[in-house]
Amino acid sequence: MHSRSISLLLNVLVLIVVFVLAFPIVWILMNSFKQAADVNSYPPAFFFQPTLENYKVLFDIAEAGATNYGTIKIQFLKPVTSSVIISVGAVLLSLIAGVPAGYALARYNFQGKEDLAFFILGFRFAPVLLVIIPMFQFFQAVGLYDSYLGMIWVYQLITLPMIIWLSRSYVEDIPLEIEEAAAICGAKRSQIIIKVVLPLLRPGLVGASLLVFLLAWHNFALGLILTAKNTPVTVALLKLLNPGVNFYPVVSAGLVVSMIVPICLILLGQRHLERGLTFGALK
Amino acid sequence: MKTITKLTMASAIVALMGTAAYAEDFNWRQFEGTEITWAYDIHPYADAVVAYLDEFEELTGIKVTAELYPDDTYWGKLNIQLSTGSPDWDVVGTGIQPAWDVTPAGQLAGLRGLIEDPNMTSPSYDYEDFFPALRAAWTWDVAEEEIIANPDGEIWGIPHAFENMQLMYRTDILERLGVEPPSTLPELTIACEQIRAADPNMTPMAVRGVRFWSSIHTAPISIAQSYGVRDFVGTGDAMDTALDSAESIRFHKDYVAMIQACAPDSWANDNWYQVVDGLSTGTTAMAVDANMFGFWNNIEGSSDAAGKIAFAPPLTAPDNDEFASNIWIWSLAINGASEKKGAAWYFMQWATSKEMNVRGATDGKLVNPPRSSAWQAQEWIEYANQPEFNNFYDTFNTVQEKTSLLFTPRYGFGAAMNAWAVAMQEMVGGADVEESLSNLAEEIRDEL
Repeated sequence: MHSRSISLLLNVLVLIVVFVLAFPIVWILMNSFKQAADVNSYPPAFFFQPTLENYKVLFDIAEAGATNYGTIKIQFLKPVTSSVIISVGAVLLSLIAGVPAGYALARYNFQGKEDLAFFILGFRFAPVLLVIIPMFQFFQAVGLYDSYLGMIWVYQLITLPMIIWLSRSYVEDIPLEIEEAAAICGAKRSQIIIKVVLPLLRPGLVGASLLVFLLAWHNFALGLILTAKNTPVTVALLKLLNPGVNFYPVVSAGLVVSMIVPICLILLGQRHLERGLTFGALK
Repeated sequence: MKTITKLTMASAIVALMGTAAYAEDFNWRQFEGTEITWAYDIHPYADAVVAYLDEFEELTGIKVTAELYPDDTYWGKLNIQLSTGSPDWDVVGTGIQPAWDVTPAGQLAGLRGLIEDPNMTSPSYDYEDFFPALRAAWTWDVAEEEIIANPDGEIWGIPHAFENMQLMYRTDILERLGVEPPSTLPELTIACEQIRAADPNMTPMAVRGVRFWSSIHTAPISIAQSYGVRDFVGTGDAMDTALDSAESIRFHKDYVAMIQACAPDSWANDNWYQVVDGLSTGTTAMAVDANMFGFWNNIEGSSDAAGKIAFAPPLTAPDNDEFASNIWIWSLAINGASEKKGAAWYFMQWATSKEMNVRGATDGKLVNPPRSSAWQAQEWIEYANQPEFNNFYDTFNTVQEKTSLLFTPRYGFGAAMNAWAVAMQEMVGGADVEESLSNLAEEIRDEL
């Protein structure tokens, strides 16, 4: 009886947490299908005539002006595409550069190893605004401003330290004896890494990639300052805040669209994400 | 329906006039094939131009990319673009006050040479058609970190549309509560007390209160003029702040009392968004802010306040019925580092032409239009005098006569006026007025 009460209490608490976490998302989803008048109504409207008009405005299917959204074209598909290119590109580059670095930090001993590791992690501590203006000038000077290549590169500030540190931790989790056994069998170092270590790391790396993808997807400041036409979705969302019009339903539609890609990836890789978060946690 | 028909006809006439005007003996295709970037705040003023960009590109062969950002973000990005000497943005939207801080460093290009060059400026452009107060406000010379007043000096920006500061009030609310619109600051305080007594849920009055100079440039600087307050007196090395003068102390005592009696608890965090929201949703009865917010919210279907916002001149001192109204001019300027200044100027003169002024205004977006000819254009007169706009047109004409830029032009404007906004918060919070103003004046003098 006692344990049943505790179980009931815990379930109620879980429901409260689910409600608190899910309510804003559900509310935004509802707003995205509302007319402007329903969004502003008081008391709030839970039952309304749904419309796809906000999504049409978002993707420029509706006539400009017909929706009271003014004459500014939104073309939201472009920033979504930009965000996918930049975030996926940044994660791939981080994996290519970061996994070998993480392996080296885990398996080799060299002078200043820990200092180097903390230096890399230090990029995560540096406020982006501290480096943004020099980066802006540098990007302008070398022609990387508003380019995907430049954005993928600068996003390494976000993604690379995480990949290096996570992959280091994962490699340390793999018993050294496995690599030594492969070496005794005649495998070269490169073969050991490609055929033994990487397959063992894969579940962790998939989870870590999802994690850093989310960090990249949600970044705002770098995209705001270093792009113009190739803005990521976070900056495009901000541009929907047009004070001259009633923007809430269209912003809600934009938020829903911007959530679709990460949610799909999380659903696809949920198993790995959990593994990625716990991999290497136990020594 | 009749109104819509009239407006459609008027638009067609304006469009035809526009085509005819652009077909004059002027080479609009001098910069054909050039691509420029125009950066601006996301704003109905931007909408007014974006709607017709195709026509400009057809007329000139110049391709314009509009880069638009919300207000706070735009100013941050503009600052970075200009201060780093980036040539990326050719035409920028800005105002006079921020321009004081950037023109000494050459971050904006001078325009007088372009305006006076018949090869660069259409004969029909008529720069003199802009209201004199607006032209005067955009004209000065610069020396090392100095703004030097000179009516014949360099021109740094072209007015695109402007705001003058007025008292706006909800006619339905004041009528329901039996309160008359006030005309002096102490009368406003009394009106607020009456409103609070009649309806405790109603915010009597909203003005901006954030710790930024934009809080000063609406109500305080406009009303303070009537008390004889000046932000600075003297020129050059003899310049001094007058914010600790007897007139200033008297004004601030009345103003602080008004805020304490009228404003919502959120006043210290309120920007124009909150001020306008209060008026349009009916949670606030009155506001002193830019008049076009009242205009836009009066447009049928735009808000619950449509047709219910009326206008009056800014408040005055109790013993002086001479009011004054400050201005904010959204303007177009050329980035000093732009490598396409010719094409940039072509875009600017088209966007600020007589035709675009009237078009933007009658589209309900470019309000207030900065050209005097627009205010005499029949289509704008008819549009702005529709019943839904109440006394907007007449009040504009009354206020415009006493509208000017009330801040003293000087480099370092932002720092001093931000300090004023901070001091205002302290005084409203209970700090002694005389002591606060004395500290404020000392702080400003240290920077002079």
